[in-house]
Amino acid sequence: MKNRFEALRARLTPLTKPRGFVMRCVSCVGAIATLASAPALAAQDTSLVVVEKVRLVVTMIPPKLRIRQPRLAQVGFYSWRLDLKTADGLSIVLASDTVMRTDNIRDIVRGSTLRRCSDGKDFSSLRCRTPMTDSVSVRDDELRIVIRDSTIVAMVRKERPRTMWGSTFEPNGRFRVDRLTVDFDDDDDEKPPPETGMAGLATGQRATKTPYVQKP
Amino acid sequence: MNFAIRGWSVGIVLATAVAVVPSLHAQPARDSVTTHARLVLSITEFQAAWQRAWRESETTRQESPNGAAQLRLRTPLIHCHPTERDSQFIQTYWYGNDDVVRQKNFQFAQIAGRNSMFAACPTWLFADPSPAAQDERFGRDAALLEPMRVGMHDLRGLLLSELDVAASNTPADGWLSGQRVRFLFDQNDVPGALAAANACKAARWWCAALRGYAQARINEIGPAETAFREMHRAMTPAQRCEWDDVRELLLPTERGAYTSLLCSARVSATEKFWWLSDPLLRVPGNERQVEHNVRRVEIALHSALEQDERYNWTDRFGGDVMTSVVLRYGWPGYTGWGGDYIDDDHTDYLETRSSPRTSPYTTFEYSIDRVHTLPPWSTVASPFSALETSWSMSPDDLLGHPYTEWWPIEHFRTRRRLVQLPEGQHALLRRETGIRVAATITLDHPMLRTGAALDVMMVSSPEPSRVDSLSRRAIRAGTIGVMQGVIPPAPTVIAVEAIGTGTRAVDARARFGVVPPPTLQSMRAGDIAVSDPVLLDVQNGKVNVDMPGDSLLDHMLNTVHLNSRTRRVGVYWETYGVASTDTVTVSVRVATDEQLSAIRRLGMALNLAQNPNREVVQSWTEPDARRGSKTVDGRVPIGPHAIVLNLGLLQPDSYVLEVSVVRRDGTAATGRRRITIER
Repeated sequence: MKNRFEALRARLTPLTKPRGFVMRCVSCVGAIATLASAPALAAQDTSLVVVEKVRLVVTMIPPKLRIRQPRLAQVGFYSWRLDLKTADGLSIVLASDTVMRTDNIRDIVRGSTLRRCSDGKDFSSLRCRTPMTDSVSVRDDELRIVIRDSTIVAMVRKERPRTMWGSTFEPNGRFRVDRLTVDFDDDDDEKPPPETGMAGLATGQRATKTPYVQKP
Repeated sequence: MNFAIRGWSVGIVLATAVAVVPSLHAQPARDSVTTHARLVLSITEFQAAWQRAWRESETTRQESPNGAAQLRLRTPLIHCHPTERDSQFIQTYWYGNDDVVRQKNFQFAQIAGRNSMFAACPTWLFADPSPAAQDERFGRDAALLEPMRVGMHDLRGLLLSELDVAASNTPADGWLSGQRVRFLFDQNDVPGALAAANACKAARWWCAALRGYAQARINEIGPAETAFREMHRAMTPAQRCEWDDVRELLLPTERGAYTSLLCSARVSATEKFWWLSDPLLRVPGNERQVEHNVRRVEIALHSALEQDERYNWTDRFGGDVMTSVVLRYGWPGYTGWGGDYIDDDHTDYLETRSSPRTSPYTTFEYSIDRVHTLPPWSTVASPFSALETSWSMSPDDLLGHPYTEWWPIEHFRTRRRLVQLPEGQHALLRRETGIRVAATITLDHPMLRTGAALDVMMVSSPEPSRVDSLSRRAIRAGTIGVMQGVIPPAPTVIAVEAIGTGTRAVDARARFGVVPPPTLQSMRAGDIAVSDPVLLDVQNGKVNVDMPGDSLLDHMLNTVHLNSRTRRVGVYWETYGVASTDTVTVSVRVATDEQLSAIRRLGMALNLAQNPNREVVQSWTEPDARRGSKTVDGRVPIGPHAIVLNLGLLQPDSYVLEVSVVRRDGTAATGRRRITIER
């Protein structure tokens, strides 16, 4: 099979290089060539999950708020959702508790609660009821969720997914679905845990220092 | 455009209108706002879940043996850039199942956004998007891999439960009624969707639109048409004008003529437009017009929120492009996705041009069994001058597949395969109170199995609301038939329509306009006239031109384009008002009517060039005992005539065949037909 495709590629390569095609793809930064660098490109959009020893740090962007243009605030619910395909299914949502009329992300986050969905079939954020006490902060219009729930962290470390689905929702039906690259911070295995502070902790937030746990 | 439905509104995005999504016109009660917002979030989250499943399906397809190669073909169409020149061809390659790479040219048929750099390049379906993607006309979930369909069905069931509860509390909510119908169809719950449409208690026009949509989805064209008529009646004039706007279906060069009309004047023009677009006049209902209304409703349902499962419907994000795509071609059969990395590349392209991200980006692919039944606007302006070639439903190859270089301004998929028959020949002959019309039809098309029985009918339609059956007979595919009938002496559209019988669901048609001559009854005493000459097939030896009569019409040649094998032809014509005792001079002349260039004339004067305008002329005086002529006596006598002409000396060109009759008192009459001599 491989030989067949190599043969086809060899036959097609000179044929697919007329000027129009090349010109069209100039601004596409070589779609074909960048296959291998796909995760890196996805990560450029700053939505990603970093799995550290004792916490997950999730960075997500809202679908529209980065578009800096005046517009009327919409009425409705905002929600951020993280889905991980596991045997049991894991979904975590940050959803506004009431209908909101704002487009200020800090106001939205202040009026939202982080919740865990009981199973993977809770497609509506508002049905997810299990509250979580983890921290949420906003930096440069990016949402940053730090999850320290040891069960969740352990599960993610065990499953070691390469990606997770991150979805953001705004009133009036706008949404964005991203495949978030999951970055395992295993390099830290050889290093001692930081003595003070937590990398990435938002200014003014309190945190409990978690004991260093040897990787099984 | 906004169509208000009890406080809420449903956005109908039109070609020129700004995309409008549901908005709060009259502020509903607080609880209603919350309920609506909850439903919006539920729908949005379901759509996100669907998109995740679809992206995973597409990713899996790309990992299949042909996946990478197919993606390579699709990439230029996913990267649809409006900075490219419109209507150019791009070269792509299609892999056959037999390891042969076949080259095909797909037209770069671009629809560019007016408010963004987003554009769509709809095209024919490349190849089987295997594994296991079906045409989305079989349901939304056809785009998903089989295992994911089950999960999505369950999720949609939960969503529908929420919508049902809300609908029982607010039965007059038009937005909700629409979304229920939409998701019930996506769920393949046809009885549920029909019941939801029938239970609609919102604005009358919108409920009628939903009923029409639901009936059309189950191929009940008649009831769908009835419902859409009710919708029209219930609309305000302004709504109707915008809903009926067809500029998107016209060629850019034709739009000016349409848009220059006021709304009131457009009504009549639009009615003619749909009349001439009807796939088969003999079949009750206009399938194409129903499809147009279905597409309008589909757009309304999908643009009721800013996004649907894959696409953004607001203008700034390319929603106007999506509206154009669906209005012109309907929902695509397959949408190929390139993956995250192609999305990111194309987003870079858009964002560097100040246009927002609208990923995921896809192809818009359509099955090749589609036809373009809309006529050009010039035909709408003058329907009775229409030629068979005024419609170009689909230029097909030897297998009956349209040439992939062909990409019309719109197309749609008829319930039964419909093909266009070759251009034939027709004749109009004067009778006492009516006009005898005869038309040859060549039932020859790759999609028609030779020998298959076809139920052929000739109909006349002088106006949009009227169709008269003229004659009907069974003809076998692969043969030539002559259909005859009598029409009133008024301009009309003639259609010869063949319905495939048995299991072969292929229909065929030819259509043209005629402006008949006056009847014999309306001729004054002493008037004379000549019919337009008709070419006869004398190759089969069955034609006896010495005994002319209108039975010779059964041997009409099936074309006016004469090739090397048909240079010897019979010519039939009738004189009117020439008695058997009248002395007349008859001339039959075949000549070009093209003007010679100055250089050609100079060359001829210098004896350096030949006159290409060779002509064939025969002239004689009647009565002539050597020529068969059998005048049918009456207040206005009819004189059938026939001769055989050998046109072998004429160069390939376009000619006018002219028959002239001059009476001794100088009264003259002429009949003409344009013919083509081919190599």
